[in-house]
Amino acid sequence: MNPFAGGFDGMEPCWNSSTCPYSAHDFLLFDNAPEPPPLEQVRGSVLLLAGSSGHGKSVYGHRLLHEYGAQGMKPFDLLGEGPFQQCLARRRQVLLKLRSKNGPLDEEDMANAQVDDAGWAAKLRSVMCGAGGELIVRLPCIMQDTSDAEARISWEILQYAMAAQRSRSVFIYEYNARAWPGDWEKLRKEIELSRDVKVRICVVAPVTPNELWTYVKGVMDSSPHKQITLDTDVTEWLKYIFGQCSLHPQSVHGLMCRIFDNAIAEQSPKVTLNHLMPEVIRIGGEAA
Amino acid sequence: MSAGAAPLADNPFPVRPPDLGTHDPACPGPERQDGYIRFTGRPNPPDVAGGGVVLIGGRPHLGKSVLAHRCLHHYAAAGHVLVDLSGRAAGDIGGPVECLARMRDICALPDEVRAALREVRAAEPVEGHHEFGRALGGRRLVVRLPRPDPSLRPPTIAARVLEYARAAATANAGVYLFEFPFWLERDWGQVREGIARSADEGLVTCITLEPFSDRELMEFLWARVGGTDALDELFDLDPAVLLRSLARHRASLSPNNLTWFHVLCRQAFEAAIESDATKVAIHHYLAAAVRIGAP
Repeated sequence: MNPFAGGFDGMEPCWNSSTCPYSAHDFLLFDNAPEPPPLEQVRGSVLLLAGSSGHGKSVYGHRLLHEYGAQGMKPFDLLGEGPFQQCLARRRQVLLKLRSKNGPLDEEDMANAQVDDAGWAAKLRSVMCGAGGELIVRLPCIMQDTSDAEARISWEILQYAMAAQRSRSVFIYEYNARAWPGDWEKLRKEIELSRDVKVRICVVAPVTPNELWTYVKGVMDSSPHKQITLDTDVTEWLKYIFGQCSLHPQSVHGLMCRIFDNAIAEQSPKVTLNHLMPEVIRIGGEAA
Repeated sequence: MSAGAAPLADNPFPVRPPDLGTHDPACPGPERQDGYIRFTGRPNPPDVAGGGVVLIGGRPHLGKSVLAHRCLHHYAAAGHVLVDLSGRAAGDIGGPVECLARMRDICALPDEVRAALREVRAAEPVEGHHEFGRALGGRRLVVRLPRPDPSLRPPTIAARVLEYARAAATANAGVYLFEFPFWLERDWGQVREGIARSADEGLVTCITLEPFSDRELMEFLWARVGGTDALDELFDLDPAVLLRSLARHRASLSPNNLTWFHVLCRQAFEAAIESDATKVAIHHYLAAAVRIGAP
C-alpha cells in the first residue's frame, strides 16, 4: 500500500458549519498562516487573504469561518459560488445568496439583483444591514488580474468593506494573484489609499522546505504500510529539491504518491532514483 | 565539496544549443559547424540515384531538420543544384505545381533555376517538372520543402509525398526533401502504408528518426564536456545511472531529445555553479528537471 494514497485534495467549502468535517487538525497541518486576528479587531471589515498559489489561503479562510463562527458570528461560505469569469455576474450572485439568508427569493429579488456596479454596491449595503445578525462571509474566489479594468478588484473590496462596516460583519476575500507578488503589491497599494474603511491584510507565507519534509516524514511514519522505504540518497535529494524548487504541499504530496506507486509497480522495497526522476520531470512547471 | 577543489565556474552547455538545421547561402553544412556530433547510429543521407523524395519522419527534436540539412549539402556536393524552401511557414507550399510557382518568388534562387522556371508552361505536376528538368539541361535539383500543413491527415501526406516523388523523378531525377513531424506513431505508420500501396513506392525513401538512446546521450555528454576524462572531472555521478533514470521518457509521446537534454544539463550545471559545488551531482539534475519539466 502507498502511504500517500488518498490524495491531498483541496478542502471542500464549509457547507454547514455545524456538520463541517474539518477541524483544527486539518487547518494546522502547516505553520505558515498567521494567527487569526482577534474578532474585535476585524468586526466590520474585509479580511483580505493573499499568498502564493497552493500554500493554503483557502484552508486559512476556512479556519477563519470556524474561529469566528465559534465566537458568535454566523458563517456563510460562498467560496464555491460561480460564475467565476464575469465580475458583475459574480457580484450579483453574491447579492442573491446574501439576500437568501433572510428567506426565499421571489421575482422581485431576482429583478432587484439585475443591477449595474453602482446599484450593486448600494444593494449590498442594504442587504447586509438587513441580514439580521453579524455574518462572517467567505466570498467566491477566482484567479484575478489587477490590470483587468473590468475586474475593478480594489473597488470591489472597498465596497465589501463599506457593507461590512455598516453591518458589523466580516467578509473574507481570498485574492489569487495571476502574477505573485507583482499583482499583489499593486492591489495592496490601491487598498491602502483608502482610509475610510477597514481592510485587514493577511498574507499566508509559503510552506517552508523543512515543513514540507516534516509533512512527508509524518505521513510515512504514521502509515501502517512501511514495506517500502526511501533510499538514503533519495531522502537527501528530496530535501534538496524541496529547498530549491518552491513546491507547494499538494505538489509534494502528488510527487511522493507517484514515486511510491512506481516502487510498488516494480515490487521494489526501496524508492530509488529511477522512481524519482520521471516524477520530478513530471512536476516540472509546478515549481514557482 | 571535496577539499582543495575549485568550485565549478563555467557551464559547458551554452544557453542555446547550436542550431544545425537552418541553412543559409554561406552555410558550410551542419557537419562543418561547431556543435555537430557525429553519432554512430543515426541515419545518413540515403542514395537516391533515381530521384524522388527523401521523407524524414520523427517526433519533435529528434533531428529531422539536421538530417534534411545534411541531405541538402550531401546532394549539392554530388552536383545537385540546391534550393532551400524550409524557411517558409509550415503549409505555405502545397503540391509540386505550387512549389514551382512559389520558387519564382525566392530572391536567392540560382540563375539557372530561375531561367528554367520561365520555361515551365504545363499546369500539371509531372509534365511541368518534365519541362523544368529539360530546361535545366540535365542538371539535377535538390529542394528542401517547408514543413507540411500540420492539419493534414496521414493519407493526404502520403498522397502529397508521392506527387512530389513522381514530379522529382521526371525532373532529371531530382530530389525533394520532405520532413514529417508527428506525435503519434500511428500517423507515421499510416503515411508509410499509404506510400507502400503505390506503384511509385520506390521513388520514396522513408527515414524514421528514433528517440536518442542512452548510448547516444552519453556520446552527446562526451562531446559537450570534452571526453571521458573531462566527464570524470566535472561529474560527481555515474552518467549511466543518470541516463537510466531518464529511460522512462524515451518511450513517451515526448521522448528524450538532445535539445531537452542540453537544457537539462545546462540547468544542472547552473544549479551546481550557484551552490559553489566542485562537480555536478544527481541532485543538481533533479532540481534542473523540476525547473524545466518534461521534454
